[in-house]
Amino acid sequence: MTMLLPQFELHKPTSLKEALDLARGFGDDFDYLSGGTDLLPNYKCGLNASANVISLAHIAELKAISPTEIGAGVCLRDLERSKEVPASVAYTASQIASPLIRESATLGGNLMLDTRCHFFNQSYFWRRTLGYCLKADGDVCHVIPKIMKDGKSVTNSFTCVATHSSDLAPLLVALGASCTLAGPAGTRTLKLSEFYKGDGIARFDLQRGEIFTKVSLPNTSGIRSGYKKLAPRRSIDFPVLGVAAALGLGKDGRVESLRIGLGACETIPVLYDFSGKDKQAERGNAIFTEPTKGMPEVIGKKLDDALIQTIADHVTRTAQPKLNVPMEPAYRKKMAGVFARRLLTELRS
Amino acid sequence: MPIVRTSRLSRNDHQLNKGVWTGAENRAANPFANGDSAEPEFNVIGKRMPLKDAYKKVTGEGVYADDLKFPGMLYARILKSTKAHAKIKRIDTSRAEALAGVRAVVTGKDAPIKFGVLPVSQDETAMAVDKVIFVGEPVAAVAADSEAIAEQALWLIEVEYEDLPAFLKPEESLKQVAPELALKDKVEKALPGTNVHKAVDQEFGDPTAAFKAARATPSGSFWFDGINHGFTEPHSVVAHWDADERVVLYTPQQVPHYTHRALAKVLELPMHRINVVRTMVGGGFGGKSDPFPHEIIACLLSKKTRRAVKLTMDREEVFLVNRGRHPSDIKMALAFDAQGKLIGMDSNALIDGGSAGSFGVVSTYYNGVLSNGPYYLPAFRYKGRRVYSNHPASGAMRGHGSVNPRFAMETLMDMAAVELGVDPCELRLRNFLPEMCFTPYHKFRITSNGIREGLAEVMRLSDWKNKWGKLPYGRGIGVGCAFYISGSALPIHWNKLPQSTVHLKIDMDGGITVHSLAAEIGQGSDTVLAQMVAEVLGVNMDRIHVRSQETDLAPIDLGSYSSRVTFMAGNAARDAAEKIRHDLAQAAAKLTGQPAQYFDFKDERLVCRSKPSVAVTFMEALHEAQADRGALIASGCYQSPPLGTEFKGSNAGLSPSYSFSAYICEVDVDPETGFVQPRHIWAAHDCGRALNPMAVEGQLEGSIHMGLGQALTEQMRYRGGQLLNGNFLDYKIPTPFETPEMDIVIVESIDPEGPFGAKECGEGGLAPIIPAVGNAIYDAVGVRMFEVPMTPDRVLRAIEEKKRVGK
Repeated sequence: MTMLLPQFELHKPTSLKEALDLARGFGDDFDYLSGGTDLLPNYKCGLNASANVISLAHIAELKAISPTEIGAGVCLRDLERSKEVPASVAYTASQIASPLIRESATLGGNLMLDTRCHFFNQSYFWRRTLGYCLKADGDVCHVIPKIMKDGKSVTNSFTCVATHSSDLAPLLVALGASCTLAGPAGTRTLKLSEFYKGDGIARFDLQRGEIFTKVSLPNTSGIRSGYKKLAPRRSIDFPVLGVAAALGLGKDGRVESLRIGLGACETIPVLYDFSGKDKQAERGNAIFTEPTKGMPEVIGKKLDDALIQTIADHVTRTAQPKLNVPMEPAYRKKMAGVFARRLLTELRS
Repeated sequence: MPIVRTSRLSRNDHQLNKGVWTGAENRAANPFANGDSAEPEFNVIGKRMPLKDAYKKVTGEGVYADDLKFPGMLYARILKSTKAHAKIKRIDTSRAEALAGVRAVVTGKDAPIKFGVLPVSQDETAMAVDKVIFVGEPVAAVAADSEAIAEQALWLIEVEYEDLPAFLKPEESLKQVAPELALKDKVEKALPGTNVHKAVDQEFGDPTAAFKAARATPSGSFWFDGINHGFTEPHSVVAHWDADERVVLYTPQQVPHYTHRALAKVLELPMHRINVVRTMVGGGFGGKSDPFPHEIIACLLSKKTRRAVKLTMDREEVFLVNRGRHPSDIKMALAFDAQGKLIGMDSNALIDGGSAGSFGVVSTYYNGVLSNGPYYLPAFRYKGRRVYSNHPASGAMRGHGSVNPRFAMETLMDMAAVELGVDPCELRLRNFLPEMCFTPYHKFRITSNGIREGLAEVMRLSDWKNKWGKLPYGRGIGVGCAFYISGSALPIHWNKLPQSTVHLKIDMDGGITVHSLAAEIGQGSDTVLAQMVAEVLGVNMDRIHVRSQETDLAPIDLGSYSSRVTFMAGNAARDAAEKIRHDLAQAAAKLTGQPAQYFDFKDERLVCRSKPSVAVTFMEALHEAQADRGALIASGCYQSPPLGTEFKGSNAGLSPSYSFSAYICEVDVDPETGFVQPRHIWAAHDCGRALNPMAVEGQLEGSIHMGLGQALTEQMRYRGGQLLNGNFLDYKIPTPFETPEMDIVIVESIDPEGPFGAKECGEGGLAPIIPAVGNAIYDAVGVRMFEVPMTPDRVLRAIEEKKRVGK
């Protein structure tokens, strides 16, 4: 054995409407499945499995791809090979997991990866030994067990800090992407940066039954973008840190816009919008990254080495990686700045 | 990848080959000894060929234990301890037994007899009795109609524990403890009341004087995280206690014979009532060489149900069975004179044995005595302590006991070279043991030794002289050397039986069946035995069928550990084949009227040497030889010659021969992130003679890849007593991206006692890569690594520390 897949009923709708109708009948007891490379391993570990699984793999409308719109059902291998999407998106897709996994895994699945934590992604035996995990079967978080709002309790029951480990999310957030959700009450579109919630369990701004259908990119002409991934190995691994940037640079070398996405540090891809326009909801707790706190003035300034260093220092100072994925937080925090500096230096040239 | 083979060095003129040591007289006359020392022409020896089981493996036809199915077969799961150290107050299995589909439940009380691979460390039980001592220890087991039912039943078993403080740092296990905190009934005799499993204290020569007189005394305190073998196939067994009251156990064992003994002891059956059947082994690396609790558990469940019972583990369970390399704290110092001669060593190893003795007594000795080469070491002090702890058991793993101290020694060699202003390769060349010598105190008999040729060749190939100390910051080159036993000369169970016995059977169909219990574990054991026979009888490989699975059919062989098969079972197979050859030559003589000793065996023919027109086919000779007799059968065997000396523990490290390796590695180090990327590896290994160069290259490339894992990424990480990363996503085995180009240099020193000159190549090639990487990191960025694996955060910390101190 012997990680046995729990029993569930698999449904294979061929249209969004059919999928939504199915979902309505199952209440909360269902999961959508796309490539299955994230959901099914979690099922095998006995993590929050449902009795019904609705496959989105046979819905053609989720697989469209164009320079401005990418269907959630596009597999990462196709994204990686696509000449239509921005080069940084194709490159980032190529950095995910392994070629075999990318054949199944999809854009939507990557953006909606379940958050990861080494107290969560374990067998039932393991979680039981530790005393269960807040995100699965328990009521105590073992990552930060001592922080409680009253400052006295020794349990952290107010939030889960599991890490969102998507490679594409920080890049798409930096690029200013939006996402479209189809639900029983119709479709709605919101900024991808607002889609993520600072809670490793709730994770998304998602109504019951809603399906993530596509990502829309703003006009990225003239925007320089890229991604750097930190992982113990150069294949297979989830990122333990990802730094993405979208940089608008004037002909005089001055910064017109700069958005940095920080991945795999937190329950969300963290957005640093140096123009100050886009802000994620402040979460008001020191255990979270606060991108705007002490954010340096960047717009209109010449992007010289000193400014790049200032930006990098800001990222390192504010990043709050948690001790719940491989590699120590202090190291990852330091690398956030190194990667930001290297990425911006590359994008400048 | 380019394959560079150094010239074959013919060494037939030395004393050793003239029967100075025993063993030679046991063998039939060498059919190739024609009075000249010219290289003989071989039939199959030295030819590149895929392993005999390669096609079955790659097509999926190979049958592994988990593929087996029997009528009415049940599935078993083990309930594992959720406590690192606790008393068991109560176990109630009634709810599990009541679950529909559950056929049997067993607990520790069903098999309280202790066992262990070493007769001196019989300290394991099939399941916990009275207390548990690590997270993952079997507490009970269930056999049911399906795995799902068995799994469901596990959590219906109620176990009440009373927590005890856990021993999770090896130094804590050195202390005196209250009796209830003793992890085992029996500990090191000299240290009663502690949790020390084995203590070794050895001093030879005058190390104090050596260190006093030394010009350079590099020292270091090293830490090595525990690592796991990471073999592909998880543990999986099927047991059947059948209607004839015999037990058949199908198990992917490296050492079926020791499992056979342990089963007999624990199940209280005579050995002949047990048939251990080795299934195809999906990797072992030392991790399938203990008799295991799960093997016994499957038998117990089958005894209760009288049905075949399959028990297959998941990866987490494999990690918890462990038996991997010991977490080790090694403090070592070396002494060198002004000429760069090594004049002394002082080493102190504290190794975490975890929950069981396993091979640990051997590990404790090896951590010291395998520092007796490849350099001449005139003063030796070693203090070794192996402790029990509340971690999963450590045990034997590729390069057993030699790998961690090797890293320490090679790092210190490099530090001495820098201190003395000598090129590190040059320093090593000044210190290598010669061939045909004894080490000064332990009396290891060094026969063939091609390490000088090996190092010279990798220096040339890597352009060492133009690179070492001359590459830009961030790129570096480093060297590491090692030696290893070619089969442990002393059997674990002391008796007068040969260490290897091989039977041959040839009937009128012309097929040659080789019976042996040497375990094919992917290293090429079956192929090498077939080659021995094909060579001696001058026949094609496809005539040879190796039956090396069943204890019912195969004569005892001690199995696949300590890199012993080619040397020992190989010699036994050759011995048996030579007896058959004698009979066939007699038959050819009868058919042709020519003297029997004139016949050469080649290309499936027996050709008269003095009159090449006179020849008979192999089949003609065979049928003649079978007249009035039937099938030809022969038995051959191997027993190590008397070796060593007479102090306590002096048997450890003795081998009829030793392999030698010299590796050079070039790396890139990112000084801002601490990432280390090996660029190229030049690896020379003296395997005596490459019987099958393709297999030798495979073993060396595999050793390097595995060694790079320990060097850079692999570590068993714990939180308290709980393993954090018992899966292949979080336990970081290198991917092909991390694997650099390798140039494999095969050095053939033609060992006087190895079969056709061969010695080991399966394990010795692992150790040198780790210090070669460490020393290359030093050359690249100027920092010494004292912690293994050399992960990016550790490397970066060392770089930052150097900057801080530098300022």
